This record gives sequence, C-alpha cells and structure tokens, in this order.
Amino acid sequence: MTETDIVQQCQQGDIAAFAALYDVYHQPMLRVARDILHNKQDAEDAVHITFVKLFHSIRHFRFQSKFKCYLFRILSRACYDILKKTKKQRTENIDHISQHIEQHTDLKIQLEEAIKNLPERMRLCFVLFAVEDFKLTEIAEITEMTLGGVKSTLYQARVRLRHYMEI
Amino acid sequence: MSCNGFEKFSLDEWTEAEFAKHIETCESCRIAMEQDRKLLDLARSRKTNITAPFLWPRIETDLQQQRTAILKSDNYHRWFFRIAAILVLAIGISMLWFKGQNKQQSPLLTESTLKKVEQLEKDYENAINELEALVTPQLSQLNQELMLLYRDRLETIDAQIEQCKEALAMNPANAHIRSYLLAALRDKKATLREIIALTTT
Repeated sequence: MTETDIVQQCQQGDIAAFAALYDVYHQPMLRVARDILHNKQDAEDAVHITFVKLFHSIRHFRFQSKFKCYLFRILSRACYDILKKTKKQRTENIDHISQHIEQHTDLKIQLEEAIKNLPERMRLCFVLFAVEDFKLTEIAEITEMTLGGVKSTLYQARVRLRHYMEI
Repeated sequence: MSCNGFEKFSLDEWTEAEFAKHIETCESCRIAMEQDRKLLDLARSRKTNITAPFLWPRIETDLQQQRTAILKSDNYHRWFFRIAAILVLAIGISMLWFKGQNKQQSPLLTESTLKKVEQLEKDYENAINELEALVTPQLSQLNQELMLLYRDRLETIDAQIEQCKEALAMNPANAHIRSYLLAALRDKKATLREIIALTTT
C-alpha cells in the first residue's frame, strides 16, 4: 500500500490508516519536536496534537505538496504553540551559552545544548536538514520560507553551532 | 574567519568544483569545511529512536473520541436538515394550498351576501320593470326610426339579462355574472330614461 493510499484512507476517517502513518513518521516527529522543545513530554504532546489536527484537516489535503511536508508543517506549528504556552523561548546570552556548553565534555550533549540555544526557526531548519535529512526544498515548504532563506538560515545555524561548540 | 569562500559555497554561489579549487589555497575555508562535516556527522548521530510506548494509545483514544463526536455531529446535522426540509416543504405546500383556496373563493359570494344581493337585484329589477311599464306605451310617440332603434336596444338588453339569469341559475354565487347582470340592468334603466327624456320634450 502506498503512502497516497494510506492518506486517502485517513481522509475517510480510518483510524488504522492513522496508525500506519504514525508507524512511519512518529520517530522523526518525536526527534524534531524534542529538539525544538527540549523536553520529551512536550515532544509527545506536540506529536499528539499534530495527529489530532491532522485528523481534522487531512480531508482538505489535495496532494499538491508532499504529505511529509504537510505533516511536519502541522508539527512545527504545534511545537511553536507549545513554546508560546510554556514560554520556553531563548533568553540566555551567547557568553552564558558558551560557558554552559563547555561544561559538557560529551560532544553529543554539547550539540544538544547548542541546538537548544538557537533561535526557533534556525533550530527547526537545522534539525530537519542535519538530523532528519530533509531536502532544502522540503524545509522551505515546511517552514514557509524561500529556498534562499532556508540556505541562509542553515548557514547561520552552522556558523553559530561551530562557534558555540568550538569544534 | 576572514575568507567568505565557505559561505559562498554554502549559499550555492560557488559550485563544488570552484570551492574544491579554492580550499587548495585557503586554509581557513578548509578548516571551516572540516568543522562543518564534523558538526553534521555529530548531528546525524542524534538520529536515534525515542521510546514512547504510551503515545499511540493516547492518540488512538483521542482520535476515536473525535470520530465519534464527528459522527454524532453529522447525525445531528443530518436530522436537523431533514426536519428543516420537511418544515419548509410543509409550510410551502400549505401556503400554496391557502393561496389556491383563496383564488377559488374570491369570485364566489358567501351565502348571506348572496341572499342580500339577490334581494337587492330583485328590487332593482322590479323598479326597472315598473319604469318599463310606464315607458313602453310612450314608445309610439317617437318617430318610426327612433322607436325601432330603442325597441331593438331594449330587446338586446333583455336577452343579455336572460343569459345572465340562466348562468346564475347554475352558479348563483358567481360574482362576475352578477356584475354583468347589474351592468345590463343599469343599461336598461339608462335606455328607459333616455326614452322618457325624448317623449317629454
């Protein structure tokens, strides 16, 4: 069964088809949500909200864009909504971040801390590109940015991360 | 980093070949590229599975509830529209029926009105007949031509009156025929007055 078939079944309200979509996408969705929200419980809530929103909106999906992009656009909006509610936006200054990151010797943890301190949109672009291997055009579709904007944002994110981590 | 070669490459201003040629001579861009590779490798290592065993059951329960709510709401809307459609249809049909009833009733006189009209008509006709009885002998006083003209006219009016009466015998409540009868009687009265006027001068 192709993804199009599954999506069409979802449009009929078939919960089993939603389960099939969940099987395919829940891991990348959880990872992206975790990197945006820095909290596993919030990430699970974001995925939960995304599936509920998808349940209501999928009948309007016309296959004019990739389903994956449509799904991650809903996810990114759900994450931003949670961020707004929990006010977990970045408030620390760069010097403080650098000190905080240097405390960790493990590079993975350093990267996690560094990602946490990127601006929201930069964080989303970087995670989609570097962790989940999304194409630049797909990221542009999810973030509703131009291709040039995505390239520039990604470049800025990589410069900042290299600076924070002093790789 | 003083050189912006890596930035140009990252923003697709330079091709891979151009950048490869550039890093042969530019140490800072070569280091930047190596750091970037390290960063991306490290980022890819974050692609590990996250365990969330209770997430799908939570979502599934929620989706089932949403679906039940939608079905209920659809059913409610379906019944609401059915009832609304039946009401609109019923109101429309009854309006048409009343309109039809009114149309049928409008040219008909009610029983009490009919009695009054018949009585008035009778009185009016009796009065005209009395007038006719007075006028008929005076007709001979007119010249031959006028006498024949008025006699002919009165006969035509009488024929009209008879026709109306015959029609009313079959349909006494028809107000249209009554109005024709009244017009014919008025015409007869006017003709008789004309004859009186001519014979008295």
